[in-house]
Amino acid sequence: MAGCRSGLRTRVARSLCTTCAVLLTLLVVGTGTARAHEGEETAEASESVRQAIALIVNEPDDMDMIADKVADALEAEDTTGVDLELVTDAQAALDLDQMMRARTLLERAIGARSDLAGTDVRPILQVPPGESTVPLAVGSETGTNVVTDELPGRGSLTGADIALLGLAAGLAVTGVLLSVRFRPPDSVRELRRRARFAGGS
Amino acid sequence: MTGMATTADRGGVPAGEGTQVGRGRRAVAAVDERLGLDALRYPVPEHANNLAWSLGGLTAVSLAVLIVTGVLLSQFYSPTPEVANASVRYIVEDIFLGRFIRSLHFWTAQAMYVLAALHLVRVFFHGSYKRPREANWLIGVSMFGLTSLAIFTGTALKWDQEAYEALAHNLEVADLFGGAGLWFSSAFAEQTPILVRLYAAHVMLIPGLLLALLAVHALLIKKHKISSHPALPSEVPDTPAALAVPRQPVPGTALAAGPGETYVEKTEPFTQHLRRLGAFALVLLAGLTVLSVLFPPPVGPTPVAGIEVTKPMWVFWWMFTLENWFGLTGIVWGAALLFGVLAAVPFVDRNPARSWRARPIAMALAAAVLLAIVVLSVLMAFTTPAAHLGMSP
Repeated sequence: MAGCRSGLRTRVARSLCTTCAVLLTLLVVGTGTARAHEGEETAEASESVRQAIALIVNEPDDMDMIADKVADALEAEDTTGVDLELVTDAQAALDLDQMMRARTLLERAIGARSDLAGTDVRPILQVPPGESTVPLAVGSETGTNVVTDELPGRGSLTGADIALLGLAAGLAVTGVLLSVRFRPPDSVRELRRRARFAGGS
Repeated sequence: MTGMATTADRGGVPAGEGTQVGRGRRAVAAVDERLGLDALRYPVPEHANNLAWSLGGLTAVSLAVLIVTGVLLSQFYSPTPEVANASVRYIVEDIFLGRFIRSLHFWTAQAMYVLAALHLVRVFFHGSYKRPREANWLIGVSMFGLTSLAIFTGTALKWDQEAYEALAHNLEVADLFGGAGLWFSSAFAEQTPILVRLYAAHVMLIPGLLLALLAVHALLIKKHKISSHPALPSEVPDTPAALAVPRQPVPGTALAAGPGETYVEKTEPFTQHLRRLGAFALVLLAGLTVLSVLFPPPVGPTPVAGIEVTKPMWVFWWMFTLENWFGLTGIVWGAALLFGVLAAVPFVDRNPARSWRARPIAMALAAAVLLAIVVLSVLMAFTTPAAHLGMSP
């Protein structure tokens, strides 16, 4: 019986070792062949400007990508609705590492309202001057006119937060006490012990 | 007739005992008589009354919390692309307890995923998917898939950069399937924002399917009874080997067990199981409340098409690594492989034994799958988000 169990353990150990080896190989080979496809360039200057703003918000350290998008905007065939002079100014600001100024200039270049605080986006459906309707997004369009900053998850704890934490403590204590009170008469370990005795092993 | 009050007239309490029984009990008896709640008192072996065997119940509790918080959130959320992100900010900043409710929804979704995964592992470990429970295993796997879908669609609803990139993956994967993926593409209803269609799926289609499958899952558990513990003798055997012969009590469930001892595994009514499950649920809710208060999720920037700079939620990290290795098809093949293997388990594993010690091949394969998912997920930490998508608006 002991020999049988020992053989079983050996088989399991071998299987696990083989699995680990295969995964390790995949890991080494896989990371070496990681693919990195570049995004497709857009032909519209306004879209490139919007992407540059989004990159400033999401990836402010990736200056190369931001500069590429600004360059794409300046080289685009369709420049409808974009003030290229402001985009050129933004490019100069980027060269001077003036990120905030570059973002503001890019937003002005496409007529987007500056919103560096990222908290004032509710009246976004206001009809722009000179237009009678707001074109609504369809299909997979984003509907984004202004790229907002991230709204952080939490600030300092409020009174309601403290109350909720107190409630959680109460729930936890109640739950633990009730789970002990409602526990079954015998644990699985105890049942297994009795079963072993009953089986005579 | 008035002088012949029956048991039914008294709400199920026999005549003459009414004065001895409290009003509360009489009310319960009256409701029980009409709704048949007594059916919930079917016997459950006591080994099933511990945490490991309550994981499925805790998953259902998570679903209930998600439905309640989801209904509250839906009162203030606007699923149109122009204002969806702003409406989430409105919920977080301007609605009383809005940040907490959203955070509780966020953390409970992940808890449900983890609990469902652990439940699957527990069922696999104890061989509880074997005859006659193959169908219930398949229903469980389907529910696990729906849970993943619910997390995916929920991620898209916040309509930030991460959400849009997740959605763009959805659209491009749909394109891979050509005509078969039309329903999942924006081309299916070009004039309707796909966000609205995802919202409908998130609040109606997916929860509806989950609830329907949950009902069948619970009925099948009642029909087949909670599986016996593979390490304990069972009064009514439910192993494939035992099912091959006519059912008879196993001699040994009430054997002498040493001096003065007898092995008998008691049964308790399912309502007792529900009580303990309720106690565990309180602890779960406490933990989720703490997480929700201390670590509420942020609201990301409004999305812009054409860039790929974010990483998905940890649930999808293993797919993310596969995508970096093999492109978009990596996601498709990875998901198909995982769920294909899970669905095939009861049909491929013909080993009649249920104890893990007697199933080394099944255990090794399960360990390999789990290890692969963990390794692929950990690798994501060392991966820079790379553009795989056209992502044209």
